Amino acid sequence: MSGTSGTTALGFERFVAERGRHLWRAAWLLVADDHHAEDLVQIALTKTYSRYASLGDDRKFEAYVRTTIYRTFVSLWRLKSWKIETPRSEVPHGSPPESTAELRVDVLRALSTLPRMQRAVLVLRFFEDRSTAEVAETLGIAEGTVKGYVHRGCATLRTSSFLTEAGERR
Amino acid sequence: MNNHEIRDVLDSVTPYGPQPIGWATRARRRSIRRRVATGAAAVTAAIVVIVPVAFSMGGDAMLIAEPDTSETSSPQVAVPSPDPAQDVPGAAACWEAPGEPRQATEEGATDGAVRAWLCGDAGDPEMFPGAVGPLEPLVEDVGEIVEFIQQQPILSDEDAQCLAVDGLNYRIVLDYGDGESRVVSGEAEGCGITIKDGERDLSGSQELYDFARDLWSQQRERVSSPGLAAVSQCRPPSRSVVADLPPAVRPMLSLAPEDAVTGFTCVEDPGAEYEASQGSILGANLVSLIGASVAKDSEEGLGEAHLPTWVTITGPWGEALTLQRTTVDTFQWFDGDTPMLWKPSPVVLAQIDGLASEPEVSLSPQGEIDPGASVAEGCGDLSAGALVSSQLPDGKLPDDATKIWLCETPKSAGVPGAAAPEEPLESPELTADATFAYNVSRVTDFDPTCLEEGAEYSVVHEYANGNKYAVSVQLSGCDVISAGGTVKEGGRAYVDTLLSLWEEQRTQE
Repeated sequence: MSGTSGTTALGFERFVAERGRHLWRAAWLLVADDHHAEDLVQIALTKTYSRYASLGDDRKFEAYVRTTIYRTFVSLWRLKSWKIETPRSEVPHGSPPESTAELRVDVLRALSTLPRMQRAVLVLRFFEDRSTAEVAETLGIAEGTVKGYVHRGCATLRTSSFLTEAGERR
Repeated sequence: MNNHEIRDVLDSVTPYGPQPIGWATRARRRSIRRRVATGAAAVTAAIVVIVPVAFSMGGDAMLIAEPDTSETSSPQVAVPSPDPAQDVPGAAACWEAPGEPRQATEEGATDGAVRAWLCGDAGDPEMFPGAVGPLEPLVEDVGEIVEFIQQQPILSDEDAQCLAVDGLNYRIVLDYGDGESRVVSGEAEGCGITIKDGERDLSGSQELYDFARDLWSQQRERVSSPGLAAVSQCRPPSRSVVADLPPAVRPMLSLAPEDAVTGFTCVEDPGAEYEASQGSILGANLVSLIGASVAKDSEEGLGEAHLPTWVTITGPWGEALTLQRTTVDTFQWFDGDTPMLWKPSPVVLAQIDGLASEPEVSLSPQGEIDPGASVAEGCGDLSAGALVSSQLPDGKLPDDATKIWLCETPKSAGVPGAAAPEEPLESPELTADATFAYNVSRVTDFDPTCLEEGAEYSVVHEYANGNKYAVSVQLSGCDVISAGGTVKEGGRAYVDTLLSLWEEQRTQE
């Protein structure tokens, strides 16, 4: 995954053009739906836009947006408009050619069995490749809690019938 | 499946995603709409007779709630009205009596709650510093709080062993349609585990606290703020003379400095311990300057001492932020628990000290106040009298302006610190946002005599077909925007929005 260009602020428009898709991908793993993923990113960008100029640094601003995405997801998932979608088999935007629709559905089903905080921790830790300390800071929880969630979340995924069956099918 | 395989699987199944076309514009528009609505509602309060519904956020702020009298206001949800307690911090629903906070009830949370209040521990002598919750209730998604509580697991024996010295005790008061109330208590920061829900001890207290605060924040984004005018009631920000202690009272929903709308200065009474007297109430323009500067120019740090004066700025919902003076030109404040030092510009410092008249516009090409700047190119027609406030087609600005100029008028020229940007706004996305900011501002009734006061500016819009439209803005007095015969509220918020777009354009250069 490519990083932002330098540490200066290149303009909000350009930031969104360069990093919007990456933010969407993380949001998609959280909410398992194209439109909700875009909604989640839009909420975060709306909340954070006024801070863009004052932060003056795209890397810092992205961290701020990311924090907002994850905390919004953890706190607001229970609202009706934010119910996690049942994974569908239809192909979302631009599927990587090497993955199969079936595997995607299996992974999303396995993720959907996790509590929201655990899901957020796993996505941050593995998909976003953040350190334990960064995950803790992003979600506002203790590092020990992060480690516990990682341990429990991974154990759940490893024993998930969805992924076990997927492995057997492959 | 090991950790690497989990990483690979997540990456491989995640789609590439859509092109983020229009996302930046949409986010900016929503942010502008929110800012214009909030700023307009907050400033409108200053021009009508104050209704004596006084309340306190703890610390210094004694705020007067002003009903929104605009006929054009049409909130999409029930408006949560602040209900402050008298003489103690926080909402009235948090107290049985002054000094007696409501405690957890024997009956726990059940379905059917129609309103919720979030209460902190400020005002409890055992808790220092204390936290104060929002003054307004939650009236949307109240059932989500109940559901959240009901789904938390029973407290384990292991978790029950957790002991923490520092922490924050909070309560959630749930009001029901039959007039009954239930109170659930929890702890945040510290152990952050135990929820007291009736006779049950549950875990998940920190998560409940975070969830509740997010619901309040979401509600605030959907409704207009109550419109508060600050009347100062000064109490020393700390019970100790040691400068490194955080303020005695901190809001649960922290105030971003740039969102401040009111403010005042205080000075500690010499010889009277923990007593202070009022200095002066700061004008909306100066508060806006202070807030923007605090947000942008502060650095992490700790002052070595403190002087017996401070500035308090408050947000549209009543949250306060205290700027404790540490030297003649430096102030201490706390971003959560992080100590910050702010050094205002000499002009702003002079305003705070009341040594000069209040500046009206803060931005010049170098970002410093630059009095007496030459007339910008696009303002020539205005200066020559060839262009006045325009009648707009269908009362709206077309959104395809090629250039936008912020121009001083004879009423602003020569005022110290009143320089506008010399360059135009030209980026197509940003000029569209600028016209959007005008078009979404609300029409208002106004007292025509207000137009006699305060500085005026014009915003000149140029179009490819040669048309030019000018919008007049007054930054004090009535604080209005006018074009032709249409008058809208929120002049200061409108100019602040425009200046932020200029800043955005400069980061793109």
